[in-house]
Amino acid sequence: MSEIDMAVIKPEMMKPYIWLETSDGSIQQVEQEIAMYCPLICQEIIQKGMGSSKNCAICLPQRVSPATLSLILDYCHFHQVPGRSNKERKSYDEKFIRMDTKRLCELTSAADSLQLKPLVDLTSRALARIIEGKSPEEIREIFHLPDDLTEEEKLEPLKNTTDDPRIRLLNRLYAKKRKELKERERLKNVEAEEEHVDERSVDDLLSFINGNDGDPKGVKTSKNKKKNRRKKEQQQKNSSLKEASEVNKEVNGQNIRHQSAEADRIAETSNSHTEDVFAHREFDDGDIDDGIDPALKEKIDREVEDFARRLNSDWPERMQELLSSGQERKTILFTPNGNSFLRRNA
Amino acid sequence: MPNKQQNPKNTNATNTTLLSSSCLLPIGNAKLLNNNTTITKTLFYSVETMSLHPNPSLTPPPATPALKPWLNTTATTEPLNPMVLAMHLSDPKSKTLIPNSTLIIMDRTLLLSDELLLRILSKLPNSQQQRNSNSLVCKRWLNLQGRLVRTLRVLDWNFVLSGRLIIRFPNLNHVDLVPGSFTSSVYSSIVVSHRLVSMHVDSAWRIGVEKNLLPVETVDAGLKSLAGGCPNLRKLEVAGCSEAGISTIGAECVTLQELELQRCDDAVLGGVAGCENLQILKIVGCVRGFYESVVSDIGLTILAQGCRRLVKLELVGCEGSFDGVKAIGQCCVMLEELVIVDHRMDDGWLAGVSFCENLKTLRVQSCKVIDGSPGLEEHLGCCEALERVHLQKFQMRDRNGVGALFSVCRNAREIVLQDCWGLDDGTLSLAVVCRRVKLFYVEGCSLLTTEGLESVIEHWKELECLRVVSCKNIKDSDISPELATLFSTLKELKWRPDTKYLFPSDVGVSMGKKGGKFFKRS
Repeated sequence: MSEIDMAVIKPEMMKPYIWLETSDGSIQQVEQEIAMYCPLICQEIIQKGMGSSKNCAICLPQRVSPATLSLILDYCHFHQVPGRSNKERKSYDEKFIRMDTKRLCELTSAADSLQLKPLVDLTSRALARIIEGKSPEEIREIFHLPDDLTEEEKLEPLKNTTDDPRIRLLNRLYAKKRKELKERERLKNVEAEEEHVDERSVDDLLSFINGNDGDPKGVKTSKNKKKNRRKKEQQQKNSSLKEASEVNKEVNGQNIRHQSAEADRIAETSNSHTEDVFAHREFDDGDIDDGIDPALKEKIDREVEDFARRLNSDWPERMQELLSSGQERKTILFTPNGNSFLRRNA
Repeated sequence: MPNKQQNPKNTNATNTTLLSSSCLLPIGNAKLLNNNTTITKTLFYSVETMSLHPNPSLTPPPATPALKPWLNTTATTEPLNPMVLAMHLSDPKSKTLIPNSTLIIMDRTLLLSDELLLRILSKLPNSQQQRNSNSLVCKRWLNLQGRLVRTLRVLDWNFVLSGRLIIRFPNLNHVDLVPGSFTSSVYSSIVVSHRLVSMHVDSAWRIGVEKNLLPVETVDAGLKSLAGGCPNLRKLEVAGCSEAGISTIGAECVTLQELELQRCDDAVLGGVAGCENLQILKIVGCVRGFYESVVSDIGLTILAQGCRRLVKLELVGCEGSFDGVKAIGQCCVMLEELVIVDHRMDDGWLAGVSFCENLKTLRVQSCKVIDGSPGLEEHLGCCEALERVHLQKFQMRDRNGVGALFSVCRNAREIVLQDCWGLDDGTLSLAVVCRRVKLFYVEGCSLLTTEGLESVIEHWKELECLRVVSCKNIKDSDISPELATLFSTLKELKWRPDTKYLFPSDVGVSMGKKGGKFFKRS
């Protein structure tokens, strides 16, 4: 024995060691810098000068068993090294707490007695995660707890919560929220289609007008009157709205609000534009067939002629609109959507 | 030939469409996130305010006391005491006790102290299901879980009378006793709800009959029990108590800061005067159809002289007059917020408001008339420190009263008018007397026109924020150039008088729009 002690002491003289005594009386040597990570041991060393030799070893609390102490020292050994990243520490902690419930309880109790707060928080969260979502029977089974509640005590907390009118109101509000969210998702899809429709109609109309200049036909004047009325009403509404929108732009001066306002407007008008989608699809079919269907072709020709006649009859107003649209382009150039607008024109 | 010409244009159109559609996606996502946040907030709120508890338990069976001392002994001392174990083993019923002791020896949470177990339980999510599960595990967990509860809504008054409330939840600081103060028919599915009151009734119930209210003596007994067990109470809501009951609360719960009293009359306010540290008080005198209690000048004067530290006072369905309001203004020097809801005050009460020297917020809700006879303007006075005036669900057809109100609040910087029926251009013009307005928010005032709004706004030189929402008589077409110029000087403008007139006039060019409509018509 003495020879063995002599052999062991020699190489260990290089580093400072302290002596720790656990509740079952066993004494072991630990590196001082690792053990100092525990606040309790740190106090004993600094204030009382304990642990420097085997005779005056630090007596640990009774809740610390040798197996638990080795776990705690592993934890301290990892975390007292400087320079480790938070990610490394978290992954180590995650592996460290993978143990059965009994050892986890023992570890929590021991860490608490050693005042090792980071480890107490870690193990407390682990135990809370075990308890979460479990029924009383499951919790009792996991922790081997006695079922010592009386029947009256068991009945106390149980209550049908749907009797409360507030909860019913809350559920109604949730239902409304879900409906709104679904509608907004639909509106997104419709908006994409709407953009597609608007662009194609412009180009296609221009090409057809150029292609069918010399085919005028007669149409009843009553239809023209109705169309003219609608046109005038729309112009009035548009002019008033333009004034309001221009004022809003100047006042806000913030791009984010402007974009959100545009999104709102697009969403609100998407319902009225659903019919455009169908009309446009029919038009596409005409293109694909290359004029094979004569009935459809005649229909399109009539529509184009109506459009051309209306355009000719309202030429002065048309010129004014072109001038105003030019002004709009100038204002729009300063908005963040200017690039996309230019590309549309090109 | 025409086919070849069309192809390049179609390609450009497709690219443009994709670009514009991608620009819209982030905005939509942002909206969804906001909605989620709203839902989360609502969830948090609902969890905080609701705790449901049925009848308290009867006395436990006689077998339990035999086990209790030994259990308590083992619980208090962490290491197992071999002497106690040996004594029980020598007992003639040792066979039945050995399995029980085996279970206790294997209890893994014995290693954990109460503080440690409380810390673990406090890390669990605060949901009704989790609380029920934790409470039903064992006696120790039942007690610890009860210690974590701070807020409680009592639905059954017997839970208070039996003293079980205090034993079960010793750390309460906010108790709402109002739902338990109304005797409900347990087996009825008929719910009568009011803004302030909600109860189950049977089919024989009639509005105006006060038979669903607990007797005063019963409520006082409950308050006495509560006062003895919850010394750290900070907030209390109670209905139908007497002066003695509230005096007990005032004497025992020194830290009480917020109090709501329903079915309150002058005598009860005498007891409220004993709550020296009270800061926020809500008094409900009369709820038509449920109960008819009277709060008059006498009560308001007693209240003013007793609770001198009031910061916020809310009077719902209260009577009174100039004298009562004046007393509150003179005695409660620190009063900052005054809320008047559905008042029944005598004519001339408005002049008393000017005695509140430090009043910053005046909120008037659900009133059919402001002040029938406010008196001469030179006698009205003015609240020097007033900053905010909020008028909600309000009948503003009485021009004398409205004029007097704006005169008293002429120093206001923020004016909010929500759902004020009868507010027309002539009535709003009376607000010109408020010269320091910076924020003006008007919503749901359907008689107001653009000219009326403009004639008032042009007098407010310091106006910075203007919000106009859901006022369907205000038209965009009526905006004058002067008003448009005024809009350009504002820091914040929210203009949504009528949403159905909003069109996407900026999106696309006019030719594209016409093209779309052209096809739509066919």
